[in-house]
Amino acid sequence: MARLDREIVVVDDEQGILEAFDAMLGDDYALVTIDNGSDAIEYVKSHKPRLIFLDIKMPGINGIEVLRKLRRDKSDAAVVIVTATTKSTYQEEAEDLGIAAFLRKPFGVDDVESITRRVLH
Amino acid sequence: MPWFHQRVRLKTRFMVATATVLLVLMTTIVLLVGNRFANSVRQEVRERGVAIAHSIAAVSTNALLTYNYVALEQNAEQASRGTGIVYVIILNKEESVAAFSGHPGWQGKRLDDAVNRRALAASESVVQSQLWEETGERVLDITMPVFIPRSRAKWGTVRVGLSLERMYKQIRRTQLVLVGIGGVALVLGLIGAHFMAARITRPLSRVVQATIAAAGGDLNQHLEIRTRDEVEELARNFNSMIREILAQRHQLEEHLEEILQLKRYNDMILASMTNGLISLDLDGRLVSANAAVENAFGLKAKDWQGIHYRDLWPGESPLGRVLAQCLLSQTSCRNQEISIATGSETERSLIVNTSLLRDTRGVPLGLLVVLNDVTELKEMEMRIRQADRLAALGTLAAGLAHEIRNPLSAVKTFMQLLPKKMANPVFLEKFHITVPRELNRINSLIESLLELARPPKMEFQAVMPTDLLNQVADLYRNELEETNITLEVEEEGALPELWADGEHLVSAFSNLIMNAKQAMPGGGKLTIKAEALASGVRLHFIDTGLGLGEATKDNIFNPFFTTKDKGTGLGLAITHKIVQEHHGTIEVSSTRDEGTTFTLTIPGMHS
Ligand SMILES: Nc1ncnc2c1ncn2[C@@H]1O[C@H](COP(=O)(O)OP(=O)(O)OP(=O)(O)O)[C@@H](O)[C@H]1O
Ligand SMILES: [Mg+2]
Repeated sequence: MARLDREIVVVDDEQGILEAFDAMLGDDYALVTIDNGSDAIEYVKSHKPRLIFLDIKMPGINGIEVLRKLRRDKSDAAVVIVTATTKSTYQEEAEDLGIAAFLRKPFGVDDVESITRRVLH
Repeated sequence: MPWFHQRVRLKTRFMVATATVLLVLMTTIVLLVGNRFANSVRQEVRERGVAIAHSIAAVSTNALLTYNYVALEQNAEQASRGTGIVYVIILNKEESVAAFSGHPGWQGKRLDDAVNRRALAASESVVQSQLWEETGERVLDITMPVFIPRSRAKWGTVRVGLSLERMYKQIRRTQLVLVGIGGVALVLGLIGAHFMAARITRPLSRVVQATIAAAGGDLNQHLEIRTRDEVEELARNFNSMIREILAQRHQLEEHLEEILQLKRYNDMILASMTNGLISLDLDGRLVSANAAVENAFGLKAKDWQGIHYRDLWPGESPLGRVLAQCLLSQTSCRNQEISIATGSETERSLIVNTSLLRDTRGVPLGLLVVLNDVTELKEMEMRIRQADRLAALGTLAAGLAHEIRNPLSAVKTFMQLLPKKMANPVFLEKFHITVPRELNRINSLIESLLELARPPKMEFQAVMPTDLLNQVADLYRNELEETNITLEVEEEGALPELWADGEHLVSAFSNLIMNAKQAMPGGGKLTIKAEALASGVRLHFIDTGLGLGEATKDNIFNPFFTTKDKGTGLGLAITHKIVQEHHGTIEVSSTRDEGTTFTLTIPGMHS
């Protein structure tokens, strides 16, 4: 279980989104929800999760900055960007930094589950 | 034209005058000299006759006393042979002929003519003149009585006839010579006069010629006259006059050229002006119209020149109405917007400006009308406004999408999971918490959007601005101080009562205060300054925050425009809307990194 403990991290400032992830994955995986960027960086540094769902638009440090920081810290975690913005430049930026997937809100349960499966198994 | 008005040349006049003077002079001389000469000749003849008669009488006295007729006859014949002697008659004491030269047979004859009678009656020498019938010549008869020596007793008479023909001939010859000399003198005089006249009149006629040429328009005249008299003076004056005229004409030509150039320039400006320009006289007749007007209304020069504007633009047409109004009131009309249907295509929008033309004394002369075609401008403006609206709509849509997608994602997830996890009570519990909450969020978002769109339900009443300011200050002071922001509220003058919805105004102010707070993350100062205006209040919300850039400034009042990760971008849109509902204004000014000021004016209750 120790390994599973640090399987999935969800970073989003929206409570509803965190609750939704919990409802989708909370029963089958060890899931950690964090509502801001800086806490997320700290957590990832110490716990080295395999998969991170990362929102872009957040107060304080936004998701792209968090990702950049993680990559600079040599984190090899698979990152899935989950965003409500339609701004296309974010996707390119994120892909350059290396991401497993780019999910747009509103996402489907299937998308999240299949990505999770693909990354973890 | 009567002869005395005919032009007589100066030279002719001079000649005629000279000739007349000479003629009178010569005639006088000829007459005087001729007379003198004739008199002296006559005198000489008479004296000679007397001398001859005397000598005949002297030699014949003895013969008469002795009645020696032979001697008397001899004396008479001899004496009559002298030159010019026509006859010699010696009469005896008995008054009959004693001797008659050339007529020896007439001895003893009594002569009974008047001359002889007067001769016989004479007691001293008598001179008579008579026509001698025998030869038909004029004869001077000189009678000399013969007296007995040393007594007064008359003893006969001697008559000598001297021919006057010679004398007359001599006189006539002399007269002829005189007339000849006179004639020559006259001719010489006339020739002299001619040259004199020429000398005087030639320069004069050059002056005349020059003036005639000048009068005819050829001003290239210069007179070079050196006569050292009035003519030279005249010529000099003429020259300077011509110079003056030429200089003036030159100046005039220059002025004219300048004026022409100015006119050409003006014409060019008028022709190339895109604005229409019409001038009317006070009666409303068109005096001028430029190419832009002709094009706009499809007119040709002959269509408008001198035409009354009403014939082109009747009173009920938009332009006609404006012109009528301006002409009637004799004032200038500013920025009247009209639309006209031009010949071919659609309507065009014109801005009409008129100004009254006045002369230098301010008396109105007419009306100047400037037509500015703003059709393109308006279209462009409309397009820009449309683009702006679209852009705003884009921001709005993007913002709305973002705001809705988050709750929507949550709701969607729970809905998708629901069939599978229906039996899971933990899930159901979460479902009941999350889904309604997120749906509410969506709903309230739509609510505030609708709030923007529909006229809000405002409840206006008399409100003291001071109360409102105190209310917001109380609301936010603590919150602001927590983030190291000092709040200061200043009031200048007695603030008038407002006719306002206090609650809405407070929420408008709240938005501004929240924005200021968010712009000063490291603390700062927020000043709310209220000024009393004649027509209401002016409020300044002055922060010392980050400020905003130009691009941001243009958009801040648009719904969903935000630079904040957690902003909705509706705050200022709603504030703007509320201020508008109060017929107020809101403006922003800002300097990056120094601060931002929002300025609101809200009209007072009675304005
Ligand atoms: N006082 C200010 N100083 C600097 N920027 C400001 C200020 N007020 C507004 N802005 C700018 O205007 C934008 C729009 O403001 P607005 O209040 O409409 O939305 P918001 O504040 O971003 O969101 P919300 O009001 O929902 O929190 C802000 O994102 C910010 O960039
Ligand atoms: Mg705001």
